[in-house]
Amino acid sequence: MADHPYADLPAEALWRRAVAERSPLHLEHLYRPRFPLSRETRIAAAGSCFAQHIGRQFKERGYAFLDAEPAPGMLPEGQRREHGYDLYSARYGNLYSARQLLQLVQRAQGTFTPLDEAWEEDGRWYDPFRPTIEPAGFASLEELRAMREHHLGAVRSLLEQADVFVFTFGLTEAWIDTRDGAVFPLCPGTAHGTFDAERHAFHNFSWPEVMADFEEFMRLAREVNPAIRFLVTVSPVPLTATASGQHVLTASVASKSILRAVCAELVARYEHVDYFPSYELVSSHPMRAMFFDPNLRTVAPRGVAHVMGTFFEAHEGAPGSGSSREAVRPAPAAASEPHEDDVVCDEALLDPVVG
Amino acid sequence: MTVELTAEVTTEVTVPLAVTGNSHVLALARASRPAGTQDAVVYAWGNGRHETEPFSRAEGDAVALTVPQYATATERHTGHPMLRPDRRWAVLGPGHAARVFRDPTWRTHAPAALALPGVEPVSDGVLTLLLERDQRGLRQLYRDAVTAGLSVVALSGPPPRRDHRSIQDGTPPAVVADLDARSYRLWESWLAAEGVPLVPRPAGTADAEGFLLPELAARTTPRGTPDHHHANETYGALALAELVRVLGEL
Repeated sequence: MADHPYADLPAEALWRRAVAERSPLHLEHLYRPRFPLSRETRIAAAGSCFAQHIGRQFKERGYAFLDAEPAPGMLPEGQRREHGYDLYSARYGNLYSARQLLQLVQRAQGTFTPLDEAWEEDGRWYDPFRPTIEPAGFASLEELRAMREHHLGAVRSLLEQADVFVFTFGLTEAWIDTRDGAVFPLCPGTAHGTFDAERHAFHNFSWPEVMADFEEFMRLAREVNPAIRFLVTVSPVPLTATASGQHVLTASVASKSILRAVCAELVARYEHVDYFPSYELVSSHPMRAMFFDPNLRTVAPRGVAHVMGTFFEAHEGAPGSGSSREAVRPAPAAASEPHEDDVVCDEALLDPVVG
Repeated sequence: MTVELTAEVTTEVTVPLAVTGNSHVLALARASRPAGTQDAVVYAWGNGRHETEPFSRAEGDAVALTVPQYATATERHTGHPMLRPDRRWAVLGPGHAARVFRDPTWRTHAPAALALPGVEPVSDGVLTLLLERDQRGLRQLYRDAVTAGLSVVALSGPPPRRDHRSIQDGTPPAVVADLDARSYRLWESWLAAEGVPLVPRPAGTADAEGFLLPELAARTTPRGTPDHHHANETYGALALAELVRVLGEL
């Protein structure tokens, strides 16, 4: 027998045995949790719209998913998500980039105050940094400020309480305020606000920038909660539109590649970071795009079920291994996962046909 | 407080009048009738819990009631289960947003405008949504009445009571007052847009915070149990007088 490093590799290290000869639905050991999650683990989540599936699954499966801004009990289920409730662990809406996440924490900690405070339209007021959180807008600037103060307090409380912070990286492309670098979740003018070419600039974050932003976010979080750990993942949802000048496909691949590479480096550098391969489970070529909707962008419910089934199977044990069958069973797609319409993806507003 | 039971009526109501709605109409049904309402039919059609979903349908020149309890009561008092054009109709709806403010939500949440400490603030937009959702069944009824060509006015319910169970159970009085006032403002603007006259709450029946004056509160329900929700017949007489006043101005 040859004696070299590849001689005794496990099956999952060999493409033929791990991928080529297996059903893509049954790839083994694609995810080996670095640290366990139990139902007592206090979990917070944020990120791009795909992260909404993760939060929902934690709640449905009885995990201690933190909700620092709970919805009014009598607000109907169908209205909660439209108002930013029950999407994540607080009403921050979609956080597509690491810079957005970092600035949110800086705002919560009082070290950054964006110059662009509010947008007024027809007597209603919109928060530039979560412009769709109130579909009808806030009633007044005072209400916007009060709700924002409460929101930022909720973010502080999340960081203090969470055992694990789950972040789903979404995009590298963003629009920033040229005066202070504040990152908008959506290009001003798409949902609310007015686009001003002098003040609003496109920025495509590089690998060093994303890496540095997330490292700084972790540093700030661990200052107030030294035990907090991070579970990162990359959304498999491609860009709706790119302002980079590239083809949207190459822009998407570049963006996701940067984010994936950041995740790899984070895991390599920090023991308190783990990576879950949502991206690979949906977007890698062995999956043959089977988990996408016909638009090849949005992830079909069966794809979400596959991703989350893989996640919870890794944490709870395989069916028949002695853990609860109910707990490890992937959620039935139709019954448990909402229609794509129910996933609040502000980014879709960039498509003029959709928007 | 001295309450005038007989209102000053300057205009006679000549068309037969029916006054109906949920249990708050009982206060009017028990009241001494001011001039102009002696021949009116005043009856409660049933429990207000059915009013949150549409419960009516315009049928030609009448409005059908799809809640059997409401239709049965209407037939018993008017001879027909529908709202028909042979009467003017005063239907109690605006005000007293009890279905909203008695929800346990308000022990953990409060309107953001109140800036109450220790609770989750709720925006004006969400509050409007909740209140409009509560109002949608009654709004549909008024809209159906307009579609059918009925002569209809919207009769205000009484102000909320400070001794309401929800307050005893922990909802701050300021929240109750705020929700009631918001609900009322929404009704005012919606009715004005729809062209349905509003019969306001009689002046001088609420305190400075918007709560029903204690002397206008019902003490017991028809079953003899303590009543923490409804107004009494004194309030009912004032409400009828206000109704006559508004009808006289149309």
